Amino acid sequence: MTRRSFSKVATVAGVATAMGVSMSGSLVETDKAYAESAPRIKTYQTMCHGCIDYCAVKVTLQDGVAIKIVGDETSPENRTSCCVKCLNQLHTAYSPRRILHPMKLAGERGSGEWEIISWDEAIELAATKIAESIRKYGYTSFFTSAGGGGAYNGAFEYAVAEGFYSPTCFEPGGAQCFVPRSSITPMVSGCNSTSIADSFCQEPFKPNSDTKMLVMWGTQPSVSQTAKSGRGLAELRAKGCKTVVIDPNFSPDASKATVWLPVRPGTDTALVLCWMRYIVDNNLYDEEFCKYWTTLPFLINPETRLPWLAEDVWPDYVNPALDPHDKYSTPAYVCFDRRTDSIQPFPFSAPQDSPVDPELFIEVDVNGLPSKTAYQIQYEEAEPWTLEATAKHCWLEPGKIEEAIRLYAEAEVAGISHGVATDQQRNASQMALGTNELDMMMGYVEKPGCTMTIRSMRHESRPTQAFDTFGIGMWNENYGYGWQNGYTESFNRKRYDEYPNKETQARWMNLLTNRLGMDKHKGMYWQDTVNPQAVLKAIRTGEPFKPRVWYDLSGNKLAMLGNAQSWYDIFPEIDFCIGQHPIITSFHFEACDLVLPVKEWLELNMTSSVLNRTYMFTEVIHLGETVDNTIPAERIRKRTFEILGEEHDDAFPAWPGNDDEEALRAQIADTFGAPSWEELKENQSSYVPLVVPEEEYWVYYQYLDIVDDGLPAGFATESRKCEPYCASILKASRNGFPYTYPIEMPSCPDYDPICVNVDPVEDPTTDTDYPLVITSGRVPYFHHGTMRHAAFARELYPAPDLKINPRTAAEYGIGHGDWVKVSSRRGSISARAYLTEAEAPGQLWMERFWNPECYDDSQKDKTGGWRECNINILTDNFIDYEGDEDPYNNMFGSYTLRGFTVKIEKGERPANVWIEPEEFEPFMPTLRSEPQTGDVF
Amino acid sequence: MYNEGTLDELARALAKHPLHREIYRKTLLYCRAPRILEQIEHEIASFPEFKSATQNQVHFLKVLVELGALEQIGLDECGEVVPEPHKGDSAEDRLDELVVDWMFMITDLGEQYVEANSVERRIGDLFAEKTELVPLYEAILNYCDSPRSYKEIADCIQEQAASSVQLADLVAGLEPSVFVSSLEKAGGLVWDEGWVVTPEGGSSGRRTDRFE
Repeated sequence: MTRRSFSKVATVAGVATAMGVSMSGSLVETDKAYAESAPRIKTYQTMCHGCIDYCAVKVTLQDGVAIKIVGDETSPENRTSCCVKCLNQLHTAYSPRRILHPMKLAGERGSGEWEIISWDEAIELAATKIAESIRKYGYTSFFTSAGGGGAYNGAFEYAVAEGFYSPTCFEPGGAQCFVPRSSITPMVSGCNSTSIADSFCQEPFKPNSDTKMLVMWGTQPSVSQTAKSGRGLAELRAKGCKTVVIDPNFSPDASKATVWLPVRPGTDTALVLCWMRYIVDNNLYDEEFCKYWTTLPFLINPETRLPWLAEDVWPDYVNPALDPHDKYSTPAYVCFDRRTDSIQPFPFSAPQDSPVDPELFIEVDVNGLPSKTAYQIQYEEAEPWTLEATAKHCWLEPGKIEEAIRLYAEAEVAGISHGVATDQQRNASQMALGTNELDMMMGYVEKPGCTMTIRSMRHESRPTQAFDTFGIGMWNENYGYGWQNGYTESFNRKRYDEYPNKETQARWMNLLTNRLGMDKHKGMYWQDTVNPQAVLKAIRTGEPFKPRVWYDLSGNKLAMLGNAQSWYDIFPEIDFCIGQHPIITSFHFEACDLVLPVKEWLELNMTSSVLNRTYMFTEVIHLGETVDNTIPAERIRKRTFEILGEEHDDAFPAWPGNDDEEALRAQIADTFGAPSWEELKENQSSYVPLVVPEEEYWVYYQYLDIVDDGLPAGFATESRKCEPYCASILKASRNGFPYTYPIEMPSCPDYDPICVNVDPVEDPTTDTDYPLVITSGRVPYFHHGTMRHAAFARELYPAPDLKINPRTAAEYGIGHGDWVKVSSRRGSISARAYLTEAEAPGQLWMERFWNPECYDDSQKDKTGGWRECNINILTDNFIDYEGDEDPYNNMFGSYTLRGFTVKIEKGERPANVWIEPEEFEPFMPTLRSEPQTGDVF
Repeated sequence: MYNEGTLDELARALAKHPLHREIYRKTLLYCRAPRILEQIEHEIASFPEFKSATQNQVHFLKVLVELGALEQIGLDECGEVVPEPHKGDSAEDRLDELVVDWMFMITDLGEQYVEANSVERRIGDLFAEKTELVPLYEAILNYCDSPRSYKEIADCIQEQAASSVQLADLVAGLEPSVFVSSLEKAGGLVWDEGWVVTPEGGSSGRRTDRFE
């Protein structure tokens, strides 16, 4: 009997049951002789995915049960380290909360009553409901989501939506995390994102790193990726690297910083502009780099706000960098030349070959219009932000700001790294741009030790760039869409015109033009996702279509989405909700009709890299009927199209789905050059890791390499230079360029091509009803919404700490450890006071939290566990169903998850919340004796 | 067995799952006369909406009883009503043993719900809210006198928009599903191997022959 047919027999009765049923012992026969034999110990190399990142680790099994995890000494970043989040896997993989079989809702949503069904039934049910909805309302009725922790296949959720011809996929992150910081840097420089919260910024963690000065702006790597970048930073600091940490929270990294600037939440753009002003006023910028490798000396047409092109001023001008084959684009601009004291064409060249010495700060007439240089425009924007004005606005000391700037600007090389915090504010795009601008002004680009690097094989031609998240799978370029920087208009157009299948291309266009929220926030085209609030609004109003069958591929949406109540309120509009996750979360409890069990990372087969080394995830255990994250979607998609019949074609040709575990393993074996998966698993050290030689991986100064047109390679931007003044950002607002090219989307108000100040939506200095400001961040024990069912971690951190200054606490009669009721205009929650001088008076900090114990079987009155201690009850997605309110980041639609106003009073412990160690006993791992199972599919 | 609840609470609970709303309402309507379990099971099975339901008939009845919209009455083998025992009464088990079938009847609360959520009322509300779209709604209702595919309705809407600049402006940028969904939610359309007008929807659609 196969594994699947056995499980079908076992579930025929369709027993109604509470969650967490493991069917222990009912799946395979136990071999007594084996049980009585001596313990068999075996250690495997695998990877941890307890956070967004990956650490190479070694897992020791005793008789098939994972008992120990340590860092893999060959891993260059985490080395022998692993963190609490990693170790939590020993609890979460064997947690009684795991679901090991597909579960169909047996009662009403929120009842916690489930029925085990077979995978065949689950696939059929999901496909039937999706097909039914597509027949009734069209493809746009289907939508997907993921994120908030526990997603093992990043980006797959977009492809799933698109695989059903739906334009709607969203994440609680996206605009609120990842997209702004990750998409701006490539756009303005062609370099990798400088974000330290992911694996993008790698330079500081290179063995023997050259980083001598690092600014961490709104990020705490010691908490986010403790074993990897946290460990790396400790090593870096020990070697003498100076750090500036800009964070309202006194994080471990702040505590070790050379200078800590506890900026008032949400006021970061003012501080960035202050740095810019100070750097200019004190001539601290890299003049040579600014002149020849950035757009800062370009004169800007005040009417179009675009840089003047040489041809605009001199129609007969012949650009010496023109590609005779009309493939690569290298425009010539206009500058004020100091040598001739006049405006002149500014063609691209090596600095030493430049015909001009461009002025950086000036206003002159061009074609009769007073035109400023880009740097002049940026400086004027920064001019109000003196040290004193900024200190007052941002609740900082002028001297400390100056000290931080000097540390940064006077270093031989430095870099700014940012993280999640600035994405969770209304100034998300401006902050990403502003911090990048600073590095460009300082010439901290492509140097050993800086954070803004390209890190790729050296170019032979002028660098080019497509504007997709990762450029793989179901992306624009597969269908001829999207402008690629570096190519000419005619070459880009040719890609579109010559795409062979016009019907497929038209379908892709339909997805682009139908995507929700893109009338205003076109920056989200970079990730193939839409803003959560746009989806919410469409569900609620039904316009321009109503997303109504929901497939969520990971995480607890009620814990992670801003204004969680507004989401709960629309659940009655959802016809059918499918969730896949290793456990039942608040979201599955409250919203889902069907839950599909997927693997924990100890069960996964994948590959990922740590710096220049590629490692493998190894399936060292497998419980129940859990499957790889990609498999259910592909199975459901195939079955849906079978049900729909011939009038509905199957998916796009670039669909990246896989429906077979064996095929996944074969791919991995092939990656490592092993003849078979079995050989690879048994002799891992012979194949793993794959290593890119250091001299090929750590590549610097690529922009100076002379390429096939005889010019320096430059950068993969429109101008071939770094673009602190970025015309592409401006164009995005006007017609969707570069993302939707050649489709011109309706325009919206301009996105600024430079960093401008954006104040927070709610201001504690003027808000008399809610006079305190609160912000949030991560703690070392959990990642996003994961692991709240890990017993030991919850013992360490049972409830969210509300960090509060003792003077502020005293004003409200609150003592250390007291329960506090925290209220915003959206709702109230509870947290425990943690009194600390590290928090500024009038400011609060707490972690996002939710409580899976609230629907434990031991609870008398179960709740969904998302209202008690969840800061997203307080946050605001500013959803305005009737009006046109738009207090979002203009480019990405990011709303404010950090830095909004609240009030506090002494409170009480919520009824279902556990605090004492012994209370967490029901979370202790009980599935260690669960039999090891084979592939479901 | 009978929990007196408010109309708001009942409405909120029955609205929790969109695939089940009409089933609940129609079940209550059917139970305006006393019905035994088997009758109701057959009746619910005949609802077009039941084909999309994710729960069975017993579940729907259980919910309606628990919310106080239906009264559940035990019947003995002669079809006589078995009196409901008091909680903790020593006769409770004995009386339970007498029950061989169940009869269900709508309660006052259920009546209030049915009245407040009548299709006529909901279509009236929709038409009042979107007066400018009434001709289009009526055209769709009339068009669905036999089951229509989504594409057929989309074509119908496109045809209507082509004949009226004002209507073209109103529907621009909106998917056809917007109008289908609104009429379905109001109870005017139901999916039964295609979109088809309900009896109450038919009355509303016949108010005007503008697009016929």
